[in-house]
Amino acid sequence: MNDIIKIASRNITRNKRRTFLTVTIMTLGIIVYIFGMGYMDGIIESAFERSRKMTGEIRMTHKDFELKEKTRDLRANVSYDQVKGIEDQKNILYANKRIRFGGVIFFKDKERNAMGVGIEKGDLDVFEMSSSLIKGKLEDFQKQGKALVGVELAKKLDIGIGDSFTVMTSTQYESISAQNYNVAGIINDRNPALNQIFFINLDDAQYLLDMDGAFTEMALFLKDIKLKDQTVVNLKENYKELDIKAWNKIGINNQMDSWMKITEVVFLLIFGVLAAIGILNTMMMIVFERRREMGVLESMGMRKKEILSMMTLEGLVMGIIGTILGIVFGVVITYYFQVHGIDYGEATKDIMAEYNMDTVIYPLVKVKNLIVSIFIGIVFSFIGALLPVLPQLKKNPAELLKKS
Amino acid sequence: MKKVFFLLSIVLLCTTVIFSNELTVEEILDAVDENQTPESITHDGEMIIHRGNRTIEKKFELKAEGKERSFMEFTYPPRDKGTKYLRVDDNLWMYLPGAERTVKISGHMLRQSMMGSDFSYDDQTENRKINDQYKSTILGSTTLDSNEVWIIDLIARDGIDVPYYRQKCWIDKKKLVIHKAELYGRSGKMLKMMYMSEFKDISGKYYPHKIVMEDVIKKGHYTEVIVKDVKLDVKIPEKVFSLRYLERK
Repeated sequence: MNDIIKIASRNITRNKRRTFLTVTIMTLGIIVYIFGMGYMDGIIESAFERSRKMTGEIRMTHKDFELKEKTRDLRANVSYDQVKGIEDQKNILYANKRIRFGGVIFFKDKERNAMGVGIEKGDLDVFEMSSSLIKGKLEDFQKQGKALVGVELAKKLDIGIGDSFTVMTSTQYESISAQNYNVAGIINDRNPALNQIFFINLDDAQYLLDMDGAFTEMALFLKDIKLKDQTVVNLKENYKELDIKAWNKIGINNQMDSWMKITEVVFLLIFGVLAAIGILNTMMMIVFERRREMGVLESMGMRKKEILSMMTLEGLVMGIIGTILGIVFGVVITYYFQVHGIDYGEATKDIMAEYNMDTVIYPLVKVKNLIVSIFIGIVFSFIGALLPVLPQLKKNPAELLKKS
Repeated sequence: MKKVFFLLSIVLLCTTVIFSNELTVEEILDAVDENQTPESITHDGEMIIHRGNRTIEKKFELKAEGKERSFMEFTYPPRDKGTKYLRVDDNLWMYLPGAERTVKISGHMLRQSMMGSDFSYDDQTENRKINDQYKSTILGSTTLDSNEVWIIDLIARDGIDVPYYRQKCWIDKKKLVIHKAELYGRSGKMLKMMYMSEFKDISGKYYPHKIVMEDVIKKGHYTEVIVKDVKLDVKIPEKVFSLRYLERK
């Protein structure tokens, strides 16, 4: 066995160009996998983190909410009585009531359609308002008639702290309603969607929309998010007349969740095929180049099994080197962008906002991707080495010598 | 045989006389317009909005001159108190006290619900004559709640924008008032039903004291307007029909 190892290592160092090519292909494959999967994970985390903020880890609504959501029909609302005792349910950390509504904002001679959200105090932490607040005071927001305005909306209206603007909308009974609000703060969130809207107190929203004692959505946050599916089942048992969904089953999140799973498989296949083709191609080249050598070794008494071991060992060693280098470079590259991000610029802001995504994507270095890449690197290099050698070994030495 | 011919001739003659004395459909509709449009009017009103099991009550005061000018102010409930509407010709403004702002209601907003009721702004602001908007046909006569009525079909005239493409009205032959109307959209689907009742003779004109508008698409959605303290042909100060008066606090 020692001889086989010696011969294999000599062969690897002997033809440097061949070894370099094989190792480079393996390295590139692993880099593509680690960075690609890290990028996908970054998108998923970024989008899903925002989605969880927007919907809660579990969302409770009226049964018709999704049907009427697009037309901003507020009749699909939930009364406080319908969610009695929700805070005492198993695995519930906190429950925030919200009202999302559409309206027209008037400020001086400017007017603009905008979405408003009526929120409770607890949502200031959920939306991390203290870190996204660029002007004003959060304490002021908690007073009646105050609003937090997204920086983009504020720019469009040319509105600042202390300014009073009018919101005109329809109540849940489709009657025109309007109130004035004073700007308590301007927020600049990483999520561009939040920078286009405004927030008012839930009480103010209820008055504006004639929805006393009611809200449109309840965002639930859990003690243990891993138990979300079980929590949904429990809540459905206790609140039968409401629509209760985990965040990844709501609207576009649901599509993205399935899409991400498919993408993960596609990426896995792309890398697998890339690595396999590289290895197979290189190994076939080696085998064809070395048919004479195989014939000589066999005629000198080396057994077919030993030749097979030598060849697969060579492939495996090159695969392992490629995998290690790929992991090192892949982690370094991915980590660099994990820290600095990939900025798609202002031009993509609207389309990214539509998918609840940031304009800056931060890929993630994840241990699971490293483990999968090690597994794939080794398995494919082994198979890649084994497959082209086997048919050659069925031939007798004379045939191998003649053909070479 | 001669007797039969003679009797038939008498019947034919009588029929001809009766029909020649009857009003044409255009004359009937003009008379309805005339009867339901006092020179000036003031009254209080209650708007009771029914939404399934829920009932919302609102109160208002109205002042109007002809079909062209009206002023309406809501006095109850507290959240609606001070909400005012001013209509002058084809223009409608709404004053929203919560925002201290006047909004002109026009375009698609006119089709929206007024104060959350089943009346749209269009229903409230329509000031054109029926004959100017619709081509009409008498479909027949019948009895409705022991009143002799004509059933008249109205179809929108070409090029005229109307809130309801077709209306089928039950018009009282004696009082020349509308008792009931079915209101249809362009698709032929019935959208609303309107009922007028409790007509009182005030200064020679029959004025409805109860109007009900039912949304036939949304089950259990209808609005009653109860009219109280009607005064016809009263002098209304000119300033009432001004934006300054609308925006007064």
